[in-house]
Amino acid sequence: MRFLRHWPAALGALLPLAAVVELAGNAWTANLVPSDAAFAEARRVVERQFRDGDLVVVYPDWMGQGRTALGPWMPLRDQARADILDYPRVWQLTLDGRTAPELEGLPVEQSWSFDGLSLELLRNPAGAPALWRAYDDLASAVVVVAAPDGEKPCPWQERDQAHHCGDSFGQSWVYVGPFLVTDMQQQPHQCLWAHPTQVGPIVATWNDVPAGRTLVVHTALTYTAARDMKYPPVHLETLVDGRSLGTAEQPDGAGWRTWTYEVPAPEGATTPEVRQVQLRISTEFQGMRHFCFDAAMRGPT
Amino acid sequence: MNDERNDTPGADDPPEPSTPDRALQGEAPSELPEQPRTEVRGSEGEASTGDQLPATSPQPPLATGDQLPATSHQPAAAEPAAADRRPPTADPPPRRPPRWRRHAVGAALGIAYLAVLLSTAQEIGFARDEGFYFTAADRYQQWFDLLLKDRKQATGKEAVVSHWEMNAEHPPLMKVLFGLSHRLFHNKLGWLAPSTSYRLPGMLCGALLVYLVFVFAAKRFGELEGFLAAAFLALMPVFFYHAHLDAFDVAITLLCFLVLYAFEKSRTSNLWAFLTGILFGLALLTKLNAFFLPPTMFVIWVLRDVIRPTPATILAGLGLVVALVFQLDMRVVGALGVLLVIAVLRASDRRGGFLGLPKIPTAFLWMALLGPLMLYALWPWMWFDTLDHFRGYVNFHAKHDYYNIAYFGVNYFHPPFPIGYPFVTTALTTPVVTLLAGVVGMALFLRWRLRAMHADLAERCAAAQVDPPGWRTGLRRLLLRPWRSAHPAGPPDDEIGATQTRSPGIGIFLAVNLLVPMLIIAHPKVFIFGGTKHWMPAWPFLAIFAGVGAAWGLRRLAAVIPDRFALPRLGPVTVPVRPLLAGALSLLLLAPAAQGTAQSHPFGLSHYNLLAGGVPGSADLGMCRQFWGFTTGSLLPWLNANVPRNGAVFFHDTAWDSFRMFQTDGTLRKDIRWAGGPETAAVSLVHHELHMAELEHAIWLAYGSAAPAYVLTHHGVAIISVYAKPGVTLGYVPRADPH
Repeated sequence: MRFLRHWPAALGALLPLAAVVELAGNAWTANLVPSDAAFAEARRVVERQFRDGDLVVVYPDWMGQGRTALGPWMPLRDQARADILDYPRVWQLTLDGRTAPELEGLPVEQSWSFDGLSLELLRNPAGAPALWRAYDDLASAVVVVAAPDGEKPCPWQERDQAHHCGDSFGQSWVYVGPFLVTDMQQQPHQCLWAHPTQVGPIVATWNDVPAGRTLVVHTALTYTAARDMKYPPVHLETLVDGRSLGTAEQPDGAGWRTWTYEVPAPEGATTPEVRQVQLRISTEFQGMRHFCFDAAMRGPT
Repeated sequence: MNDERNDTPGADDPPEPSTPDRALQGEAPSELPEQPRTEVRGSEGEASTGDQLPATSPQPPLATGDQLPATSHQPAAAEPAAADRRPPTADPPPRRPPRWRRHAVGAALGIAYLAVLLSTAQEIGFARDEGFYFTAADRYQQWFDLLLKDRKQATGKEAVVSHWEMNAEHPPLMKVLFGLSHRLFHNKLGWLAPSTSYRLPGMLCGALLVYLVFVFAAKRFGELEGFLAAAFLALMPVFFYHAHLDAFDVAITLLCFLVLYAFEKSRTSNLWAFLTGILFGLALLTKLNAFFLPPTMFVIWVLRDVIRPTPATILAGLGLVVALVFQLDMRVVGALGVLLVIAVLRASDRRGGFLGLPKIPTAFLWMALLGPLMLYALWPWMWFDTLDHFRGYVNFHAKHDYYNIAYFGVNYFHPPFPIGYPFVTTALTTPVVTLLAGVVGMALFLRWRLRAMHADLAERCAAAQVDPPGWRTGLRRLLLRPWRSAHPAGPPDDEIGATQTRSPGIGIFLAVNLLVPMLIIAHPKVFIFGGTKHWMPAWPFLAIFAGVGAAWGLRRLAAVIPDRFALPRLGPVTVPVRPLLAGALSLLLLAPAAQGTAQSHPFGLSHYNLLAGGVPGSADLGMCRQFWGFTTGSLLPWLNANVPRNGAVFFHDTAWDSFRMFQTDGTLRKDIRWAGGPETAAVSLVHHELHMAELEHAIWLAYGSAAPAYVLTHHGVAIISVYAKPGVTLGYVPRADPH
């Protein structure tokens, strides 16, 4: 055990050793994200090969130079997307060895590496533009509040592109209109604002929705509304041709939620080209229910 | 009021640490050896308790605090101390450096630090609160003008309220100094830029603290320890950032250190007891943290002078702290409290007097007297409606809103807050070598403490003529014998013991001052939105532990050099290789801290160490990236070059007063206007914090675009995103000079 007598010197040597490791580590972490030149190279590639309908993802999202370099190919709609199902091709700009969680498993078609910066063109086998999206077709919806004493209409107002419901009963925040929600995970999503009211469920009906195989519904509460964890959930019932497919619940503390329903076969012998989609939003308590939703019809008929 | 033991210097000072060393060998105490007399003379008052060791007594006075019991039962004849068995060292005998040199070196360090702070101040933007303090400082100066002109009017209620109501949630001392400095160094002498002149008192506090830490540590431990401690503190990246600001955090850290320093010296000096009171008054006039000083000092006094640190008292005390912090059931807290009282009473069995309690330190009296008096007399806001104003001041903090702070990807905005926050955040923002050295330093004190307790136990068992509990001895033999029987190589292992001799209880003093500020913030209901600055008063003590640990380690490493190479002669000069190696390696230990500090500038609050993976790693972990909107200062070149003429900018988290100071300083174009929101701005900024995402998305919605015009980054991590309103053409062309 004579070697043990040197433990003080060994402990003393540990400190300079740690200093050398820290010096090297500090230099490494400070240069983990490559220089602007690498981002310019990536930009040139995307500029040449980008196609309409492609999605550009910068990961991690704190990589500011990536957002500056590829900003022109990152429109608001894509950045605040519901999911990646609309996009058959995805560009991913990331650091070597990393993959955005939502893109994991997608096959790589092409890849480039610039000084530790990785640019990949991914194929999304399930990616195809939705047949219909509620957010894009709000003007054609019929919106009412189904109060016990009769339906209260929510007239469309062209100026702010929204159906206003609450003006007639003194709740101006009750309307269905375009919104950009910041969810519980601080992520942005485009959706339709639909603050529920205890006057009665908000009922939004689309009569001419292209028929598809699945109806995907997304729900969210704003971060500031959801974080207090003290109010009852918001309910959203989905109906196709008058048949209820299910009820989504959006409780406090939950982020952007996705509900996928198989669209039932029509009752008649022939397959219709359009279906009626109805969404009913309700709650037991209307305080701080900053709720929004979107819906998309997907797949072939 | 001082403990009378302090009036008879050295009355119960500990022996050299070889005493517990021997006790830890596991031999049964059997005889009374001669107690060696050691002369350790300090050059300042507080060390006089260690001037002379007492003569050996069969019934030594009870050991308290960190003092080793004057163990009388040592097998000195049976086994010489480990140090005695070593060959004579080739190092020259240590000489105590003169007092002036300590102060000169400390002053040099402080002045160098001040020079660095001054030369880098303009690169750090203004935090929100700084803006408010600029304005308040000016307002207070107006009152002094009035005081010189019309004393009666100035001291009237109307004038006092109208001038001192501004920012009355914080005491005035530093704001008055900010204003005076601005007057002198900008208005009168024109030496400094406006903002730097306001900031100068804060920087002076930082420099003074570096000086004091050196002097304190060098006096008690040695110059290498002092140098390393001062440098470790100065090179904490977050401290370096805060030391630039016209804020109160570094100032209150300085004053807490000063009060505690004076309290330490007051153990043997009534003058220092009085000065403790004065300094406490100044601390009260600086920031609310000062209210936590008396309980901290009370804990120090109890642990040093009231409780004998037996295993029972330590376990019960620690249990009580843990139970309080973790908010355990009150029955558990109560039971632990009862256990602690019993343990204290049992530990006091030989002290004599009422419950064995020593007298209360005189410093407490002066603090109780001078503190409130100074707070009242020197804060005009307290002159009228005193109780209401004082209540308002305290309630502002006691009922403060809970702001947001990110921690491991979660945005905390109300209690309960994570208990580990101050400890984990310290671990992730302090340079790793500093932390490691600090842990070594703490371990050294802990080892000394365990030895002291063991020696105490052996002594008491011997006095009672019983054997020590067998399981303890067996366990120690099992765990420690292989190490101890190996007889550690290197210089005598006595630094901590020698320091405890000079300053009894210094380990407890350092540990309590390190832990109390952090434990306060660890409480789940105490807000954490200010990040690491909330427990900044603990940092000097972490730095001192680090200095002690690093110096100890380097000395052991240097001792590896064989004696025949330790003092080579180069011509007429003898080169002390071992001290030179230790000195050179100390620079290596400081290098990563210096590198981290340089890398962090001017984004100090965004800094994270290697354990977090640096700035990118911390962003992955979801840690707080910044607050207070100060990083706008780093964006000024872009704004000056790109905001259109007369363009309005939404500055997000930067306060209006800070924006105004940028223009006063001349670092932001005068034609750039302030915008209250993105809708009215040509350019909008987003300071990236987790909870600020909602604002960024609102800007996307308002501008119909998610593409930033520019992103300010630090190590590749987005700090500020800049968005240009659609239709705005970026770029600024200066008007052609008509001449």
